Order: sequence, then structure tokens, then C-alpha cells
Amino acid sequence: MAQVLTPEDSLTAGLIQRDAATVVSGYGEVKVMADLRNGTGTANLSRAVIFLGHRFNRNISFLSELELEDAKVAFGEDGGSGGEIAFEQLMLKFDLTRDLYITGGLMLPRLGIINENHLPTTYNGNDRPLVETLVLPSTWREIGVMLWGRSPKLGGLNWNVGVVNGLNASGFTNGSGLREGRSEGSNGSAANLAVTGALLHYAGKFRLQTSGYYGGAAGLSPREADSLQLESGVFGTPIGIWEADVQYNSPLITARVLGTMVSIPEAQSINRAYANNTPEAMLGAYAEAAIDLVHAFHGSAIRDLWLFARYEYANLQYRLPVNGITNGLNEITQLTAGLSYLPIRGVTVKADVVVRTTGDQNPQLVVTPYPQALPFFNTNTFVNIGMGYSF
Amino acid sequence: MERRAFLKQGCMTCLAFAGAGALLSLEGCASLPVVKVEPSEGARKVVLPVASLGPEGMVIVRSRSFSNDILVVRNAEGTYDALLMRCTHQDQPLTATRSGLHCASHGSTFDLQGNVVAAPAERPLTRYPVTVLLDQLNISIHN
Repeated sequence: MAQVLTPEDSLTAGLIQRDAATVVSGYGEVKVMADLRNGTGTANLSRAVIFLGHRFNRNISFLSELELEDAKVAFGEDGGSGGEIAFEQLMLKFDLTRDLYITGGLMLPRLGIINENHLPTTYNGNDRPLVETLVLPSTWREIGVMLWGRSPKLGGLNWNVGVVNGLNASGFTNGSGLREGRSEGSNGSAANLAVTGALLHYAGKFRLQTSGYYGGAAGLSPREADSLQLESGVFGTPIGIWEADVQYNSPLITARVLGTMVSIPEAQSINRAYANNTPEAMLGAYAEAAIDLVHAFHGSAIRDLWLFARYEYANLQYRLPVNGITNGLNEITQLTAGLSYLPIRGVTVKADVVVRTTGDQNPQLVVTPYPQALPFFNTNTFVNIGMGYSF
Repeated sequence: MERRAFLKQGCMTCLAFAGAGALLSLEGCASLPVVKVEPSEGARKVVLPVASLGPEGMVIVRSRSFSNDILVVRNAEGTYDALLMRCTHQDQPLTATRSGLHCASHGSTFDLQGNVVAAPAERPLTRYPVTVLLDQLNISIHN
């Protein structure tokens, strides 16, 4: 008599997922940096992240990432010091069809490459690209709702569109782009909202993406905004971001190119309200190429040894309003070259050299001049050695 | 920058993106064929005609009984691979193209044999054995 099989038999084959399942994974990285120009250095456990996911049933899942930056968070008489512990993501995912799902909660918009794909085993260099740190903040998460889909008509096309809470212009800090205006899910203002979306297309070995963001940044009630002469409303005091990137992936060679621009048309009003020297426009671009030396000399192998070089340009004051203050430190070029060794997938050992060049420092912004302050150099060189993992 | 100029710039970027995408994928923009099946033997066996594979020798097999699609690929040797379209990193669904399978969420890439091409995935895709009998492909859903 033939054995009677039920769908449960396929659970062991992995095709039919159990209704309830919990997944734990994580990633982290540690780095030692030597500043050759100033003869100093740092050693830091940059981040350790725990991913916890749970599938409630076939259509509803929970995903979260809890991050500890800089190894510890200490509280003493002088207040907090050390790093930061924060949720990097925390969301519910609702599968609507095989090609369509919704996420809601604290999430990372698909803006650039690194914001979404930031595992240390997936990018070269100990540090994330400068452009995707200063011009495009990473890891930039806000609270909102996002619709994600794949086109059934056009093979390889993925898209997403959503609404998230807006930035807070009062936090903008000269020299760090939009970073300090993020709420990261911590009591952010919902007086402003932002729409964000991306198109992602796979074509052969190429991955093409463009993404955008447009949202208000006043974060105030109309009365408060009026008193500061800021534009209120859902999209008041707007911030716009565009980004486009192309990646090429093969077992032997990888390459990626990215360009992005940030527009802050009400920068003059923001400066009048907060005196934070906000620019009207910022831009950045980088190009990177890498070759797998193990693959090149020994053919296909599990190990990888990537030799890479990346050139970046970031201008955090591409255009200033009339009340902005020029500072050459905000125009940066950076060349990073080095090796990434992956003895197995999920583990990486990295070594790289970074040459960073900036424009001249604005002497009027130097409160304590040389020799009390460290001397200023346009070019600095750093050597980084580090390790990373993801599982 | 005025809002109108802002929107115009965004539209230009999208157009440039679309143009670049079209140039790079002239031969492969159309979707892969999708065939819907009802598995038999308690969802342990899937049967589909060989002719259901498109001209490139690929077809996506979809069933409401399964949590993910299966990509069936005809290899150069004339054999067949059946790959579960679920990323081995965090179980996200994969996008299949004529050159490989991609995870839009975290960037993992697999070749058409299911091997990892790009991290963060560490393990190859789940593969199911495929046999050919009387112009029918038989996919066995077991380890």
C-alpha cells in the first residue's frame, strides 16, 4: 500500500514554511585605525547587531535589528558617554501576493546602496563609503508604511513607494549633512511627512537603481513655524534627495557607481531660524572597482580576496544661501584602496588605506588657532585594519 | 531650487535610469514564463510539460501550496535544475532573471545553478531533483 503523504511532509523539504518560525542572526565589525598625519589612532568595536525575525503565519512576519555602536553605552555623573544602542529596524511585513507586500514600522528606505545593504561582508573597505555616510545618511530609518513589489510584466524590475515621518531641520549640523536631522524612530515629529520610492532593475550582471525622497523638515506646529518664519504643512520646509546607482557583479569583478544630490530650497530660512549653516544643495558621487584575486589566479573557489579601489567626491555646501558660511572642509575627495579577505562567506578581514583631501579651512571659523589647536592639513592618510561578520 | 525644477530633475533621473536599463537589457526585459501547478503526492511532486519552459529554457513554477516559487532551468548539458526562489540569508523571495537570482532586500545574488555569487547569503539555494519522463518534468520535493 502506498504511503499517504500530507503537505506537512514537505515542511522538512523547506518548501512549505511552518506557520510560525523564529530567526536569529546578526552582524558586526571591529576596526583599528591609524592616522598617519597626526600620529594617532583608534581601536573600536564599531557595531554589533542582532537580527530577530518571527513569522506569525504565511503572510505576516516581524523583523527587527537592534544595534550597539562603539561597544558600550555608559551613564555616569557627566551624563551619557560612549556609543549608542538603538533599533535599526523594527517592522511588520504583510505579504499580499507573491509579488507584493507592505511593511510598517521603523524601516530603512531604499535610498542608495548602503542604507539597505550595509552588512560588512557586502562592501569593501572598513568604512562605509563617505558619500553614503555624509550626503546620504546611513543607516537612515524612519517610521512609516512602504509598499514593495516586483513587476510580473517586466522581468527583474522591483519597486517600492512609501510614506515616512519627515526630518527635523533644527538638528542639521554643518559638515554632517542631514544626519542630525533624523529622528530614527525616537519621538520624531509627524507634523511633516516624506514620500520616498525606488526603482530597482536587474539586467544581466547589472543592478540599476534610482531612488528619491521628498519631505518636509520643519517639524513644528503652524504657529511655531510662523514665529520662526519657516514654512509649515506636511511638506513645509522641504528636503529633496535623488540618487542613482549602477552595480556590476560577477565572480571575478565587481563595480559600483553612485551619484546623489540633496536639495534644501528653504536653507536660508532654516539658517535664519537655527543658525546651523545649512546649505541649499549637497552632492556626492563615487566609483569603485574590485577584482577577486583568488578567482583570478585559482578559478572558482569558496574563498575570496578582493582587491579594490574607490574614489569619492562629496560637497556638503555645493550651493549656499546668502546667509551661509563657506568652509572648504565641506568639499572632500577621498581615495580608498585595499583588500577584503573572506575565508568563508559571512566572515571578512579587511585592510585599507584612505587618503582624504579637503578644501581650505575657513580661518574665521577657527576659534582656537594654531599652535593651541592641532595644525590643519588639507590631506590626511589613514590605515585601517578590521574584521566583520554576518550570519 | 524651485519645486518645479526639483521635480523636473527627478523625472530626468528616472528617464535616464529607464534608458540605461533598456540599453542593458534589450534582450531580456520580458518576464520569465510562469506556470501554475497543483502538486501531487502531498505536495511532494510537481509535474509540468517540458514545453512549458520558455525559449531560454527557464520557467517559474508557482503553486498556492508552496510558500515560494521554484525556478526550473535547463542546463547546457540538457539536464534540469529546480531552485527554490527563497534567499538563504533571511528567507526573502528572490527575483529571477535570465542571468541569475537576486535578493532585492539585501543584495544576495545566485547563479542559475543556485550557487552564491554575492553575499550576504552564505549557502546555495535549495535544489530539488528533476527527472524527465515522456516530455514531462518531474520535480521531487524532498531533501
